[in-house]
Amino acid sequence: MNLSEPVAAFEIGTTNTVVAIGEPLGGGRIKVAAIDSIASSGVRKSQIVDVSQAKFSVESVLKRLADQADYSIGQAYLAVSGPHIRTKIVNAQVPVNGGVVREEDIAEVNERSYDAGLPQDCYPIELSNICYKLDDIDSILSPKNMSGRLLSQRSLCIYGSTQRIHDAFTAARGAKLEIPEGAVAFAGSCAAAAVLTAQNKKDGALAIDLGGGSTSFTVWVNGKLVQAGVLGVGGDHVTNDIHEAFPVSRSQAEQLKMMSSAVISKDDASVRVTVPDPTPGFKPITVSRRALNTVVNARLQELFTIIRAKVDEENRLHLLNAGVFLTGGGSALAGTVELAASVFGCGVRVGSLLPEIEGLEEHPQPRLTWYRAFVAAGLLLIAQQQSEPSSSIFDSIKKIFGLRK
Amino acid sequence: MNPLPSPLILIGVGGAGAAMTRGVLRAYGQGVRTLVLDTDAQTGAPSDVPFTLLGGNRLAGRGTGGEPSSARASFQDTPSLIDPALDGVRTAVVVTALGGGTGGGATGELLKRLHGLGITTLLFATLPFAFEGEERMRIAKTSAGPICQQADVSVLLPLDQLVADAGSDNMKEALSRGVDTLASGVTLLWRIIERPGFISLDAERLRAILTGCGRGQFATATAAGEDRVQKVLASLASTPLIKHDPSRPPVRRILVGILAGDDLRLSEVASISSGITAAFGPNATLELGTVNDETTFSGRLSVVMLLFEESATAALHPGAGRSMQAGGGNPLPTGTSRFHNAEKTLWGDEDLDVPTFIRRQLTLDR
Repeated sequence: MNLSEPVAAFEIGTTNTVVAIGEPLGGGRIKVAAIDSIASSGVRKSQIVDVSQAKFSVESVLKRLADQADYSIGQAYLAVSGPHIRTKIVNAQVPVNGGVVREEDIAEVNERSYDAGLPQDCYPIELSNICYKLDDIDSILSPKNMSGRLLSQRSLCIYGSTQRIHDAFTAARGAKLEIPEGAVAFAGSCAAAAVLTAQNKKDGALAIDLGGGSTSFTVWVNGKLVQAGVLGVGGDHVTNDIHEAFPVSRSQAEQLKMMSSAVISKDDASVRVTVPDPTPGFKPITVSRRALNTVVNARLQELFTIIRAKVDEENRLHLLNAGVFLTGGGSALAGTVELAASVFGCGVRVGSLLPEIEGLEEHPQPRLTWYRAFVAAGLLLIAQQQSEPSSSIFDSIKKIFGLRK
Repeated sequence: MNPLPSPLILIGVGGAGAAMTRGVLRAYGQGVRTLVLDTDAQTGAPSDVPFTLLGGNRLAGRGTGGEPSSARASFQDTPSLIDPALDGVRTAVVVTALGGGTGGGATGELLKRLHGLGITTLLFATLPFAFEGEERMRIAKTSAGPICQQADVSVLLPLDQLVADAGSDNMKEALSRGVDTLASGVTLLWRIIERPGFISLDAERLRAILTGCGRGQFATATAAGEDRVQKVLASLASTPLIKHDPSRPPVRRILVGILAGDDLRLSEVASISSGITAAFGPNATLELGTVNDETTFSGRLSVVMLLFEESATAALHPGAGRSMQAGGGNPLPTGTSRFHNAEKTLWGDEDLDVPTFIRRQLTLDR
């Protein structure tokens, strides 16, 4: 990819389908030249359940971009999420030719990691080196030019269901949008790429992307992605819980969600929250704020508690020195940060876009859409960094988009 | 082209459940999608209803001998046995009698299975007559609580209240009348959902209405003649199935189905609506459905009514269910409707698609 060429990224989310176009600025920076979104159809829990509807969503947003910004996109990077996403720690090794580790040896052990025991019929998305081992010396960060006979690599591999990812390909192709081979990224990594600095990753950070249909998380320690996961629970579940708790329609439940708080306060006890009834002539519906907040609090507390348990399983909670970073539509709900802080017992903040991603503020969006744009923006940054010639080309291309099927 | 199978099914459990199901079929016709489950092979001998024998290997079709644990184990042997009969089903009305073996033992397992398949459940279960003996009543009441917790909505109907003047009947006649009375009530409910009317009330609307409701009761009334509205209202006011107990929480929601022929007048609908509203107070929300069926109801007027109480703090039971009426608990939906066709999200044994506040049994100060 030419440095000066614009790059495009898209995500077919449960709530929104987002397409962004970025112009590489060099130096690891990118300018968001255009971004737009449309309410998704045919997607549940971040997985496509109706390809034709998903295709229509992609088509519609592409048309809007073409109309508004005069952009015509033929190729784009794709961010994927959903409960079909899995991870596995893989180990691969190669003999060191000549007794000194060269870049070729590192490339080869990386290549072998792709085939190291992943389930059949899976689609490898991302491979993240955790550490190298040279003979009996463990935890080597960079083995280049070191002497030894056997080079081993321990990596985190993120993979998904081939069928589910191909569904996204089909929807995109139907909208005349090609996804270049290997240009698929994990949405959780994209969100982290948009908000985590290199120092955050080095210090230890947990990035949680609270999406509409699922929640993705990534754990970064010593600058490396060491753990990731997806839970098939998102903002849709919060809306559904409200719908089930009160005699309101889904659209009213969505409105109530935006008025709710994830934290229950004493002041909630006597307060009523009102939503209009869409049927003309019918009275608005009121619900107790305390009951509403109890429903939302229960769901989000459970979600954070599960993620905490997953991180704790790997004994990494104490490594999160930079804290927890929230992205996605759920991060805009009142009280989410306070609730997450009480669950994780460390600093929690809503992620801010990195200065390397410029221009997003020039495309005013409603508040929630802004938060949802982080995945696409992060993917643009990854794609741009991939396209830049650098000494770390194996660390970027091979690790991030190098897995092909 | 074959029509799509109905998303609504009537399932009878045990001998009495089968009798109620057949009663509905007799009254409604063959348009009802049904399934009967029993451990006694004789129940399925007349091939008029789809029948599944439970515990074929364990009990050899001879029934449980009144032992609920045998029926429970029989269902657990092959829980997926009923799945093929449930293709496309979204709501199941389950009818059974508690106090015996199969109804008391298999119904809870059936409801669990239905819940696992994302099917909303409405349970009508009878409690024995007092004259059937204390032991039978004890068994029924013991099994009622856990069973009701598995249903989205459960209506417990003591047969003594369902057949208020059964004293002069012999036992068989009284049981038969109880079965027939409940069957006729379920039939009316079925007509309200399935038949077109001036004010439609389909299965999804029914489910939406039930969601968020509290404890409640069930009654029906039928009358003919010029003053049929007054007669129906009087009958509903005097039915022993509805208790006006000031110590109970007030009725918050009323589902009313009016079934009549072409002669149904708007003024009659208004009178019934205002009469019921006056009886239960202006704070009760009325949900009305009408069925226009000249063939069945010419000259007659039938009303089916479900009342729901909504307490200030609705305690929530684990599992899926809400319970209403005598000895019942409080409401609970399955809560998975949005994710009905999606792969379940499980964390350990928990289905995360079910709202957390339900699984955690949280009290909602509504």
